[in-house]
Amino acid sequence: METRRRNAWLLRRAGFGGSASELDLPTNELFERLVDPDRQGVPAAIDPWDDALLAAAGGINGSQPTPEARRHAADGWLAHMIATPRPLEERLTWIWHDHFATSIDKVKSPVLMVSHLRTIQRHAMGSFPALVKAMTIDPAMLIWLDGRTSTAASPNENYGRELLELFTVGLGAHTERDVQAAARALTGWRLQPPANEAVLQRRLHDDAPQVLLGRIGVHDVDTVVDAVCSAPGCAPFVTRSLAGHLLGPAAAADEGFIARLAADFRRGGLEIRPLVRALLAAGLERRDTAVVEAPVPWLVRAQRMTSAQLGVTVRMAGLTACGQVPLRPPDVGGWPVHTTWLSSSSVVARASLAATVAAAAPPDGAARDAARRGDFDGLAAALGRADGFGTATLAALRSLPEEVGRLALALTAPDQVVI
Amino acid sequence: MALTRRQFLSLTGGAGALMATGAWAGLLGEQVADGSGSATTTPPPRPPRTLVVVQLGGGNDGLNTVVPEDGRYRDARPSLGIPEAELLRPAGLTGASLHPALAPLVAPWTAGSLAIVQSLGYAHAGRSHFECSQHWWDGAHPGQPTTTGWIGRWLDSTAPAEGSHPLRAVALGAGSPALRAERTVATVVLDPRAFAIRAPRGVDAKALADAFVATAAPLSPDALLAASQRSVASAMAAVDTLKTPLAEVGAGDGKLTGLLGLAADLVTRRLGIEVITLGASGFDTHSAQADEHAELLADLAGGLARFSEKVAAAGMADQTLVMTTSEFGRRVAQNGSLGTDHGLGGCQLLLGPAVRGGLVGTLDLSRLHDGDLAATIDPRSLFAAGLDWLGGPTTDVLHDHEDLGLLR
Repeated sequence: METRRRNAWLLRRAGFGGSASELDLPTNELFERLVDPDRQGVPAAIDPWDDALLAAAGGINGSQPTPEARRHAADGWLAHMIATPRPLEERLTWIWHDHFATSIDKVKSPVLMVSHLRTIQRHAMGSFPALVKAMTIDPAMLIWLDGRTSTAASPNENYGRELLELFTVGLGAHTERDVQAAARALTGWRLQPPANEAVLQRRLHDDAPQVLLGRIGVHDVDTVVDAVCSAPGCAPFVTRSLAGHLLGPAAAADEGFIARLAADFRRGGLEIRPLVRALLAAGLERRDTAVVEAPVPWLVRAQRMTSAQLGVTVRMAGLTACGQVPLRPPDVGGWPVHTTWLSSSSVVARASLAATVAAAAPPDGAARDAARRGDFDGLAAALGRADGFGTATLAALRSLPEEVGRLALALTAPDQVVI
Repeated sequence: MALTRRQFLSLTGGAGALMATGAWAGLLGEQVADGSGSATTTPPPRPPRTLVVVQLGGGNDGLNTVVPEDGRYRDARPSLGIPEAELLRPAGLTGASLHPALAPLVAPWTAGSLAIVQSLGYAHAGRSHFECSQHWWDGAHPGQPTTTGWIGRWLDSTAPAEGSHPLRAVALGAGSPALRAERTVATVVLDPRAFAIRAPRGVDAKALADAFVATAAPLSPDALLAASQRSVASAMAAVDTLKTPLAEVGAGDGKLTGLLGLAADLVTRRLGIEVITLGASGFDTHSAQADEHAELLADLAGGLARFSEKVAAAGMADQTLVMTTSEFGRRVAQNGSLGTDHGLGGCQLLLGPAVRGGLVGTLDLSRLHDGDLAATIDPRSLFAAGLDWLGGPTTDVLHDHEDLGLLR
């Protein structure tokens, strides 16, 4: 039972849920497959996007993208989260998308947003400084936080501020002068048509040496990234952020725990994979990791567990009602966390989406089958739960006469949302 | 992000429905027990006053909202300044003029029911959206951080002994952290057109809704799971009460206009709503702001006018007061992207028959604070007008504040 419980936790947090058979694997084997798929011979993930569909879309330089391309950019990614053999890598991509929250509402171009996500995917489990550098001169980011219009004559502070406050060191670890220094050193980047590549235009760049977080001589992207990533606040800040996403708020607030992991993260040159490994290993032992699952990972898990296929429009509408759509974070701070997802709207919208998923689940699948037979322990296992449903949920399930309603309820019941 | 467990559990208001206490919890419990799932929300007998708080998310450019008659404004904004010829100069407004998109506000200004408060902000705060928003939301005494919001504390301090019903505070369009409370639940309606359980064909939606309500009892000993169970009970009760007014919502002309129209509808239905929060983002105009800002202001002004018309038509204008909030003003000088970066002092509006109209607070372009307008009035003094009007207790909730004479 203990193995099943640990595996269930790991599958939920390090992936998007697993099958009933995975609950009984040796935990170590499961752990390694998730954390280090290359070494375990897990097949590579297949790129989910249709470039031709995206490229036909416009959305660059002010033109409105077609709704199809815009939906595909987000929905293709969701399909990938559901199908990927490497769910932890995609989970990290999702987490970094939240961390470097960038929205298609301003970027407009589905092509640039997908390129932004592919860049995150490439670095998701790699080097954090490389990820920060890639984000700093990423075309979507240059649009999102106005880097592309920031010049030596008139620097725009938007990116410099968020780089420090939200991406690397956090509030309290930098000053307004640091914001201005970062902004100056990052001036001069432009997007060059037709492909909108990021290029540095020397005459618009302020190359004067700046002092950033105590580092002198900072004047360009490399020195900015180096200064922020070597600052003492960076490793704890990033560790806290990943701990919050993977283990929940209690672990993120455990300063001793964060300090220990951050010290190793820093010593290891800010490599992400070892940090994720350490966090998940710690999470298997902690008893305070419960969170209210956000709508996107919840839906991906629900679809993985039930094998339900949803159409693009239905899926996007469902997530919009829940308040969380990939590529459309509410602002650069990313999505709200945890109990926010207990708001009245989110509760109601999730229940509706659960009913949609249940109706789309194949009737011969394990979940629908168990629901039809009234085998609620079997239903719990099919949904990746190690230890059945709680008393209240069980009684409510028994009150329902048919399988779709039962499956819908099982997907949206409080004990499937607080996990 | 580094929330303590306590903060985590007290994230109620903006966050949603965590704590239902007293009779309301009992009521929810009974619903669960008899399995009917139909809420019998009994609003209080008196039609209460309703404070509507409109958040202009991102930091509204106050200087291009209410434009000072000062050459330094033109110098700092050579291409972003509103052309002289387009500015509105309603009678009684001296030393400043209004952005042309605010035309719908000329009537309330002339009627004396619109106050414009300038140079509002937190002088000690940085220029971060998140830090400044936090100060605006919590309305706390500097140096005394709190996990509750200023509206949430007021809701708690005025909660009936038997507990608050979920519709005392309603957030439209998004939750507001100003509603965070220890004991009071706010109802969040993200999309008014999707606030009901929809079941696919072949599924009995009523049975599903009833079973969903039934998952709320018995409460788990685990605090977070119990919070999730309570959120189901109160969300389903709110769905039941709001289904009729929400059924009539149209597409809306603009984000704020649509939400303010809905807010007016909810007020006129006398559901016992005491606070409504709503808002729009997009005010973080770092680049090419002129057209965008004009649209945002038109949406705001049009929405305020629609709100006023609707409540007046129902004879309920006297029971409403509308206040805008925004985390900061923007820098005096335009930036290189034809936009403006984060600044300090900003201006906010207070609208309603109870308001003593006028321009409040001075704005001095000769004394900038690191390139920004000074923040000389603590936003809590604006909040205080709202809470005074609701009947207080204002000082318990906000501690220090100034009486700006905003109410008649």
